[in-house]
Amino acid sequence: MKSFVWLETADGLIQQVEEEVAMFCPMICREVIHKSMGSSKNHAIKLPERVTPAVLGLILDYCRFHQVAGRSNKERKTFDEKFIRLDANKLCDLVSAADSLQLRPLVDLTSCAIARMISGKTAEEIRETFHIADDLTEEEKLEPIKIKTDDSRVRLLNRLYARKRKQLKAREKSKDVEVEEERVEDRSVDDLLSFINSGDEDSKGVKLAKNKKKNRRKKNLRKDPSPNIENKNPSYKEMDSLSSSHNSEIEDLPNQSISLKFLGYVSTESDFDDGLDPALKEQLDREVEDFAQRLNSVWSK
Amino acid sequence: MSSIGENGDDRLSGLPEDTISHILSLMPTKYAVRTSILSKRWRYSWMFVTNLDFDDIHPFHSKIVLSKFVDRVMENCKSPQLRSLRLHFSSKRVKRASISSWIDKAVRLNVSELDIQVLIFKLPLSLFTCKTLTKLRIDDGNLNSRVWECPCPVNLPCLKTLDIAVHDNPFVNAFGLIRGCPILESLSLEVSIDKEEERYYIFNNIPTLKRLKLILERVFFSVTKQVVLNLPNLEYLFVGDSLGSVFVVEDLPSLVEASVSSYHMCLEFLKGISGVKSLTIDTFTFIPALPIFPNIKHLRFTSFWYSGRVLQFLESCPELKHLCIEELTGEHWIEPNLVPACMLTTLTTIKISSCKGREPEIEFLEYMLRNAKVLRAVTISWEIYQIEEKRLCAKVLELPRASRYCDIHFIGSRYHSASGYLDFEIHV
Repeated sequence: MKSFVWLETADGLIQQVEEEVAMFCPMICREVIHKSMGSSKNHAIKLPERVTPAVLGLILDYCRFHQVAGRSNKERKTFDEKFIRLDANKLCDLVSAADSLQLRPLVDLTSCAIARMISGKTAEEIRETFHIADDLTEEEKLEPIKIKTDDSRVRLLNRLYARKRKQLKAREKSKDVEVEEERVEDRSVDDLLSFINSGDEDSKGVKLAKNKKKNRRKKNLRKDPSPNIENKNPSYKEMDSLSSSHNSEIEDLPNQSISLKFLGYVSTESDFDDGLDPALKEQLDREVEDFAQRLNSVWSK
Repeated sequence: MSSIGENGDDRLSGLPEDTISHILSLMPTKYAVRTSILSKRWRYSWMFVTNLDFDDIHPFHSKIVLSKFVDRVMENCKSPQLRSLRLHFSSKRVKRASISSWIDKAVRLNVSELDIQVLIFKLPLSLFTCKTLTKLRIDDGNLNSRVWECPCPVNLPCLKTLDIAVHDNPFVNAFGLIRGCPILESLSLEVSIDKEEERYYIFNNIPTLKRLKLILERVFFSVTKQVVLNLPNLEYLFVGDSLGSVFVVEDLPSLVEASVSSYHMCLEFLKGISGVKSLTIDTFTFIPALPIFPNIKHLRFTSFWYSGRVLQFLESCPELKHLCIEELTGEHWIEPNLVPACMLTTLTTIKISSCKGREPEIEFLEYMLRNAKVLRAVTISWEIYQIEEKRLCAKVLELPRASRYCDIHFIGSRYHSASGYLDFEIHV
């Protein structure tokens, strides 16, 4: 005579499950042993909210296989590999439900599967797989790189970003679709090189680069929405008083009226008043675009 | 710009924070950090990972970029208890001071497992007295870099697994570290002995040790060492030695499994490990007489072996059940007068993992099949051209068998197709 346990899912559905299968879940086990629940329809064990009937079916399949003692490790592994071939959403439901039932081995198995789906993919790919809505503003994604720009590639990249920022400001009103497309490429590069400053919004600390007048001038320009050189001097003094350390590699700027964050050390500043003749500038631009493309194809693998 | 995902809703982002950080802890840290730009909700989740795993492959272009990345992650790591830190830098020479500071930071975050495989580094002092460390894996990169210097006595109260390669002053450094681990259970020690004065490596006073793996590398003009083993609770022993050291077994009563890969093996040592249930041997010089191994159930020969030598072993293992051979070689062998006892009573499986189908191998198979009375399964993995397979399989299948219930399985040659390994089985 097989004995059964009665389980009730959050939607009120009550089902009968073989005892040894259900008892594989620690949470159910505890309910049966310590609270004597589940012995009849009226005393069905109320399962946590996250366990829907569909997921419960999957979990019970897992339990049914693994609770049999005589299986070899190879058999179990093969079963697990087949079992875990589910789509992204099902996996998420599964990990959530297994967690609430305290079924550790299944939580680990499912977490590994999800981790494999995330690991190595670009942000776009991950968003697509898991249907994640992209709610970061374009500006937030375009954070310049906060690292020492010894690497010429990084320098070029920063130059590209500066251009893009300028373009963004220029097109803010027109909302050009083209900009968005360009951004898509940028994002995959951002993926790895942008870091979130944990105290970002309120950051006040300013660290100056080793006295490079050019940079100071650039900083001032960026602080204002428009490249207004008259403002240079007052902000310059402000900058001085706020400087805290002389870290040559990293600069932070207080985020004031602009939503753009200009963090990063760029040794050769860009397009505002380079003093380069237009032809050279154009060539530089092309070079930078081309470089970014190449970088993308390498990095967004 | 905020829109619901096209094909479905986003269940992943709705998972509890604990689950998310658990998932993010299962991948290399660079990918976990990358999730920060998925959406607002994902911005800071990576900071709570419990496993930090850094490598220097793609897309880091320079050691400086890599260094800064790791700095940033370590700074922002908000997990109160780090489960593991792994640094695998095989090509980028990150600054010693940086590596030291990262390890130090991990120690402060109560790290449990540490895995350092980098080119140049220095260990911070705090590592040697870390109260939470349970597993430590370090390779000192075979440079005389004074990595192990520790002025204070070592104290690692929770360390159970130690996996180190010590090339710099191994006697002092390795043993100094081992002495500081009161509950050590598993030790893997790789040393290369250069101009060391010490002649004796004595492993004793480690009552908790259950597994020992010793690899002694050859350096020219080194003095022959004596390795003394006195470990009453040791269950598993692996010895890999290209130096011709003399291994002396003083006391290994609990030994269950041994694996020997040393060209110079002596009778005394084999006597000392004769109580094992499972033995793996790599090829070694001929010993005229073997001790009896009364408990052996599993016998495995790696590398290549002469059939005659295999049979010599079979004669010494009266209770043998499972025999595994990698490769058989040699010319004609002389059939022994008496069939080894185990073949008549206990031998049930034979596996040959790299059979080339040559005459000596077929002769050996023929002998085994003809005489093994309780054989159940023979598995042969071919290393031959595909055209040969059919003929050889047929040949083996025709050989007379002493045991009625004996199955023969063949695992196909890898020369079969460009796409890889063909696996077919003919059951008879």
